[in-house]
Amino acid sequence: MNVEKLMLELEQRHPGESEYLQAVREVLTTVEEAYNQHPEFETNKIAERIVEPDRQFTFKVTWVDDLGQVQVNTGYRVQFNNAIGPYKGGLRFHPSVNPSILKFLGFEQIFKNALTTLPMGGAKGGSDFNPKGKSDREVMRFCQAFMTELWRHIGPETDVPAGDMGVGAREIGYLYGMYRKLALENTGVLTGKGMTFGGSLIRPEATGFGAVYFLVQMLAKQGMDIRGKRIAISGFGNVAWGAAKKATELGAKVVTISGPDGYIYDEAGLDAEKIDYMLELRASNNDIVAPYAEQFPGSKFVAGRKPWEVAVDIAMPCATQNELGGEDAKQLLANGVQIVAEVSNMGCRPEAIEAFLAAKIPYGPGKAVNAGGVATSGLEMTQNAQKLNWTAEEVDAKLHQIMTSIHTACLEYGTEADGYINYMKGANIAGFMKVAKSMVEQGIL
Amino acid sequence: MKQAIENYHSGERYRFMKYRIHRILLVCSSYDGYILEEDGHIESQINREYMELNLSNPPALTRVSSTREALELLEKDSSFDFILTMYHVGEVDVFTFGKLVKERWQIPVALMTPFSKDIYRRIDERDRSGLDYIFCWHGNTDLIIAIIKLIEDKMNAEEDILQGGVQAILLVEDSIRFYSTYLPELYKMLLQQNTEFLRDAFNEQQQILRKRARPKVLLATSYDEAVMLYENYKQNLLGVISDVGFVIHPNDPPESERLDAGIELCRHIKRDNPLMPILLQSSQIDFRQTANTLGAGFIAKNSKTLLLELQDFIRKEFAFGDFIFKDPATGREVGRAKDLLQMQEMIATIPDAAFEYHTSQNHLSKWLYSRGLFPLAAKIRKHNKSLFSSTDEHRRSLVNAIRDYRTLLGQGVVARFDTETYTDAVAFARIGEGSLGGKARGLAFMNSMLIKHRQYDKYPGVRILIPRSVVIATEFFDDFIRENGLSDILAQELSDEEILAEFVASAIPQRLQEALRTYLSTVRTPLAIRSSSKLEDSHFQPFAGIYSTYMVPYTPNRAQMLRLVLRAIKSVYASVYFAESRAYIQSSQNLISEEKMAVILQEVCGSEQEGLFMPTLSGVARSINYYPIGDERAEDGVCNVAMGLGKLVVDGGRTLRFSPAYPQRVLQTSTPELALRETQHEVLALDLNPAAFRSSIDDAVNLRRLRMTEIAPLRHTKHVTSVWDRDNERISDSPFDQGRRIITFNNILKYNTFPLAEIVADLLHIGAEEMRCPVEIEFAVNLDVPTGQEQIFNLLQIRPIIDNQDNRSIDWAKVQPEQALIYGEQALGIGRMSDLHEVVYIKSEHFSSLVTERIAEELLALNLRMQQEGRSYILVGPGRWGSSDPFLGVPVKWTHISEAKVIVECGIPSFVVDPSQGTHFFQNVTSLGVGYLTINPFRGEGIFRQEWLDHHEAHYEGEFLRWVHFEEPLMVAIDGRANRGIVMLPDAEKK
Repeated sequence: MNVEKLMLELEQRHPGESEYLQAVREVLTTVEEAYNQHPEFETNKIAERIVEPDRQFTFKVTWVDDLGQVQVNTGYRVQFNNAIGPYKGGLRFHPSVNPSILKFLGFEQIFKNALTTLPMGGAKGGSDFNPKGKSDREVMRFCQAFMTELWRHIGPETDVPAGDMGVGAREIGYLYGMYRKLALENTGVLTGKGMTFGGSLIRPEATGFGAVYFLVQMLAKQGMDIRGKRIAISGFGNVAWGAAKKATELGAKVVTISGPDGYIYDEAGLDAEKIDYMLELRASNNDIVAPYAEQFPGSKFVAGRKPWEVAVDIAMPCATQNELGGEDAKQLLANGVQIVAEVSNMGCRPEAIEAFLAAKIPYGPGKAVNAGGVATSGLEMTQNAQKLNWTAEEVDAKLHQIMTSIHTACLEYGTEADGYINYMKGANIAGFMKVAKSMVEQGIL
Repeated sequence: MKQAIENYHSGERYRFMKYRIHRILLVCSSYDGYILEEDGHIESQINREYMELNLSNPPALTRVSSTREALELLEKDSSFDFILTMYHVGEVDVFTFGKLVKERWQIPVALMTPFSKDIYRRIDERDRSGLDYIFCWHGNTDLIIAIIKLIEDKMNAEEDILQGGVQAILLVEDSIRFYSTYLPELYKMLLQQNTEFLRDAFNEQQQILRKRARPKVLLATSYDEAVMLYENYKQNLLGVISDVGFVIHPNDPPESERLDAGIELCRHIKRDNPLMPILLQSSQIDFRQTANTLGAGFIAKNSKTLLLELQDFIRKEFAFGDFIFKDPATGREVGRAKDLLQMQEMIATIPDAAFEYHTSQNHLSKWLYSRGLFPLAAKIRKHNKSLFSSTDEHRRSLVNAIRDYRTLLGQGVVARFDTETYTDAVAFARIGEGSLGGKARGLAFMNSMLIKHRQYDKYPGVRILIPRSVVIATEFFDDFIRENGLSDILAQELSDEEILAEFVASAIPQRLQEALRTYLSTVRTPLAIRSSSKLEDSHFQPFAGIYSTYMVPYTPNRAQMLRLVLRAIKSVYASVYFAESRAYIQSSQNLISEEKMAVILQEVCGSEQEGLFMPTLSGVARSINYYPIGDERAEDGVCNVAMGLGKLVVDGGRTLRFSPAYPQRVLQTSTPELALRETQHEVLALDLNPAAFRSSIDDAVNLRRLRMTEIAPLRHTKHVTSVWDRDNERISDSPFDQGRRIITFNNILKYNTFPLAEIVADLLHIGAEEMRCPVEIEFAVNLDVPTGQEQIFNLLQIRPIIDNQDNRSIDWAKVQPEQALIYGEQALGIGRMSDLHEVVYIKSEHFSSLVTERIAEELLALNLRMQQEGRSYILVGPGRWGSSDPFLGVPVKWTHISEAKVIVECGIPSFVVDPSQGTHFFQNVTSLGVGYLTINPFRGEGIFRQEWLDHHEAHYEGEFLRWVHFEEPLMVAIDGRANRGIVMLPDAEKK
């Protein structure tokens, strides 16, 4: 594979689709070396085939707003790759939606899904409809109109959409209702459904729980145990809460949480009561953590700073994109951090990642560590197919198993000559390899 | 002359006041008309005045609501002597109207308009030749009496003064605002003096003479005019009150004003007559020394006690007059009555001899006639002794007649508070004389509108009404200040705490305490003690939210409750003089001495639970929305609601915004992310523990801020909240779900469990129609009522919002945004500006949501400097300006940015601006004529060339702010209706 040559052709074929082209370049560059060790890929033109979606639908969505005015939006579904399982990927309702963005997202989704080790292909869809400022009824009418077209292209064994920006439980409900009416069937055609009609348990916790399961594997690989380890967690939302809860349950000592206002340092570590209090903080609708320090006198609130200045064994960024910068990484390393497990999407800046890799500190990238979120979609599909609802414990057990498999896959492709495990490389390649191999095995289609 | 004086004293009849105004055409909107009638009983005041002068045919007022109607009427009947018009009176503007009238009918026309810089700017720019006089009006009806008197005095001056020997006061003042303030006070003093004179009159004829011969006021607006009037009438002048700076010749432009013309006039007069009393007034206290040297009095115009000092000056020669009951045998005084109530009491108690004496002499009816109480006077005159079998019966009849009359007076919309007749059935009562203040006026007006438009029972199961209110009129504020000698304290520079301490330690007049005791015996709920100042909330006066509103819990112990209420009233009075209020009054070019406070006592809407009291929801709604979203139109209006007490909304806290036209489309709850992040996160409730109401400059001292986690047990909660269903990651509106509460108002807005949007839309519509301008209302709703009882919608306040009318001349097709320093398509504002030289901006690279409070501090200091240097500026920085949440923007209050004439909320990539919605902040922004732009240049919404400014030398540069000064003014054009605004690059820099 010659990435440059391939990109040149692709740019000629899809001029102006900058987001999509950028994503393709990034993925291909990452896997180039591994790819070129597989002559069967080159012969089968896997790279050329994998970058093109299997098919994409563009359709008109016509609906009537509350004023009786006719509104027209554009709907899309990009079915990218179903080599390892039914197309699977979110629907996005946002004014910025266009074919280029959906192709970019759909392309990345192939490898994210593959990394979970579950049988899920890659897809993405959506519309330029903006649910912001719309009434419930307008959202409902739009969703119904959208599904009136989409329903003929999806199915529990064909294509299983989920939510994304602008598509939450409410929209999934309306979409599912319309699908059920049109298809005259009650199947797991969408994930993210309500608990009363096929949704799965522990969705809010899945990402955080999964991250800790992955961390446990990382530690084990280093011959370490999570018990007694000091962990810095950022954020105090669902993900941070799930991670803190699971880590504490497993015997770790979570010493920080954070908010936009600063961070809390709790020397004694979080316990069940404190973890419950995180939910209460959340429920205050105030997006600050400072009150924690008033509630628990042993802790202190550090205004306007990030928790990475605290000396810990493990850092788990759980809050936002780019929340851990180069300086933060230096500080963590200077304080003797032993493992970094990135839970938030792109939580670490590139210079921070470089610093960790240079220091040979195991760094788990977000796409692997937070794959628990994606995995629950797969688990919802499984339950729907079985016509069963698992208990929380059953879902949790499956999640644990999946995270272990992801870790194993990362090891397979990320272990370097000196024994250092480059999880980022491993995660990037593992997903790709699985899809590429299955494409080879299934012939030229 | 000597002969005239002798004639006067001997009582020989001279025909004073030969020329009079018989018919007045009043052109004003129904809101202004209402204020005239309710606030001051204008017709009865005029009638009283004429009765006292024993003149027949008091002027009849004919009111029309637009210039168009006026012209139509004049076509049919042009026999009006005088036309008085307000500013906002329809399509033919007042300037054109005046000219039309002049050309066709030669009738004098006076314009009476509230003070607004914007309007005054327009007045300055327009051809005023059609207007004989311009007066500045704060809703005080005595100004209208003063105008009539002034015109009549001028008509009769020559004959009455020179031939009749009438005395006069010369007022030299070229400022519309000042003479509009002085004239009513002067006339009030003159009337009091006149009454005093009557006591030593020898006979009735002389009384009439003296009544008719009350001193006149001569107004001069230039030096030449003043000298001419002085020379003409100097033999009969009581004294001179003069400004220091004014123009030399009549109709000279204001900028040619000579700064010491008054000093020159003073010298001129003192040379002629060293004993002539002269009072000089100026905002520059440096002139005090000069005035003293010349033997003249001096008042600082910006003195906090200006009017009190003026009164003192004039009081030296004038006094009051009561009805004095005498023992006919001895002539000894056995009692006196100052007003009808006291008259009623005295009639019941004076000795028989005195009673018989005064009734047989018709003294009572005469006294009543002289006060303009014509029907009562006529009735009492008919109560001849022969009709009654005993003196007691006669007395009872008179007492009843007076009481009935008083009750009749109180049965209007604004009843007079009567300790004997007051019951909780009286919705709106006033205690005392004087103005009701802006807030109370608006409320009284809406009360009448609710009845007129039959809103109160429009929706089944819902009662729409104003809360039962009692207004303490401004008279008691004056009494309180005077009786406690607080004017001295006000002259000192004291901290807010010291001022409050002095006020709280002072005594409320006994008469008021008596009335309050009666009122409190009917009260069973907590009370809100709200300011209703003379300046606040009157047309174009953005005082909203400046003064304090205290809340007092209900306690069964009456003495305790009275004590709490008195403390709250004193605290509200004190808030007039708090630093923030003073700065505000100064920045809005008002005079603190003009400010008088009425106080509203209102039952608080809501219910009690666990020692806390609150309504289900409170809100503020505006009939015009400068920030419409999606399909919303500006005229649909906008509403912000919050659970609990409304202080949260009024102070710009986090509330829920919706358009009354689209209650189903609420931006903040349209996605779960927004609902979780952007909805209300604290609820205000009144702490019912009396001990919590401590003396404090913080009017929220006894309010509790409840966190979201504390509201679940409250009964109100179920009406306004939804639940975050964590497992399903959705908002559940089911009343039975448990979990994190979100105040969405979904039950009300989506499922219409209460017709909130309809009611708000109705009231905004009615208010705007009747006031003929956009309005803002405040309201509270209580849904926590026992089954079967009506839910309550309380209208708490209504006030006009200034809307700019003559802003349509900008042709945006010709405007080139590429030549802009700043350009935006989300704008509200006021037309063109060409006098701004300063740009202040927050250096975006130093901006972060964590330093907003420090930015506010730096801005406060810079703004103060601008104020001291008399500069105005364009302010640019990441918004939302005026947000009380430092994470949402720089938490400025009005005093931080009072000198900014254009404010730009400029988003940066890390800080996208959603337009501010703090209502009071925006009331001020719009009313004071500030241009407002919201732009997000980084995503192509608008332009702000910061790099260009960065390349210019800084006039000042601090940690966060940079100030660039331009020699040439920057051209600014803002058009709120087209939603665009632009600040042009200086000519030399244009590309």
